[in-house]
Amino acid sequence: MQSIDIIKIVKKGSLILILFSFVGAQTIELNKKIITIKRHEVLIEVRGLVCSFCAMGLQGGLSSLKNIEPNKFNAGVFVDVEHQYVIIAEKDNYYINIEEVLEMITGSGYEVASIYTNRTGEKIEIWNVNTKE
Amino acid sequence: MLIQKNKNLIKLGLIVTFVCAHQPVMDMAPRWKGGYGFQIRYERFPSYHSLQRGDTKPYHYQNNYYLEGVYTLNRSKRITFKLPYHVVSYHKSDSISNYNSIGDLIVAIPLKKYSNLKRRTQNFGFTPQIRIPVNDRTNIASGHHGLGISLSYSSESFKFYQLYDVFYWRYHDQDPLIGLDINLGIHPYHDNAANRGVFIIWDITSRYKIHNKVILTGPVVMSYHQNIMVRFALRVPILEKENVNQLSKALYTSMGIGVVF
Repeated sequence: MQSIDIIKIVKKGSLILILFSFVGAQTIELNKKIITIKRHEVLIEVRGLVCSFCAMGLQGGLSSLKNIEPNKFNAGVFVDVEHQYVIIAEKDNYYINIEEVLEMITGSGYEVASIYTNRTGEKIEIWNVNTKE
Repeated sequence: MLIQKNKNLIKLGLIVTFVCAHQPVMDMAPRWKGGYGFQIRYERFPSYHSLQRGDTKPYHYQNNYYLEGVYTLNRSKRITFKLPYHVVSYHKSDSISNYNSIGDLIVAIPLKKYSNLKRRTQNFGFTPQIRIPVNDRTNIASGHHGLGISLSYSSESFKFYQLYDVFYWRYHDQDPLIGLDINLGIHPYHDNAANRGVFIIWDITSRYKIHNKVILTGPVVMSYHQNIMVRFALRVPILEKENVNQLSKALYTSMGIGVVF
């Protein structure tokens, strides 16, 4: 009886580990939150983004940029003020201009701490914010 | 009879000057370049007794309606205006005196220096203000030219909000006014997807004139959904000192609705 329970626990644990590894390749931890970044999504960590009215301003500005997929999120942009990040949805086979994104955010008085993309759908790329590469 | 009525109204005028003192409006929004907004606010000061005589017979109701607006040049530079309309009713024995008037326009330029820190922001503010009469009658709360200045500090994280604002008003025909406002708040609820939530703030409002010292305190609840916000405030006087005959402010209530674009 006891050995059957142990086997069940091991099986469950293995399943969780496999799932976590699968998802883990597409996730990052940001401000104590595990975030999944899907293909054609760009995640930007923004310093100074702490309130809903900051969120409204950034959401409005970012959603007007080129190659945003307007049918995802809220006009293509999701803002999390608790964990201070923005996710932008790109149109299929189009990339948003990261430099324009940086200019829009910094021009609004905020700071970009980090940028992550998942353009292949297989691997998360971390951008160098300082050189915009 | 007319002289007595005017005396009563002049007493009430001392109260109204406190109400008009504070600026800016809509301190929280909008924060984006080219953003603008409007707010309609209603506030009520019922009063039931004289501070000096302890007399419960005379009382008054003072209702103020405000049209407030803001234009944001960028996150650090804004222009605001505030235009009040006063409705005052003074009751004593069998006589009732009423006074309705458009108040003085207050225009301000809030300037803020922001710092984006790890998971919170802070800013130091400097706000020059001007008060301009819009009608010819000098009475209760209208017809008083004034210049004001405000210095503030505010810090905000996702969970907590605090504001300290000290200001000074100088008028051409009455004593200067010094004020200190303190707001300490929490942000217990926010929905990222819908961009809606609630702030709960504890407000302390203090005003000092040569013959007037008042401290009011109480809670403020502010709810927002996308570009619309609703605000409700209650305040009670915890200190009222008055050398000239004046009425207690009793329970202050205020509510407003604002929209930003």
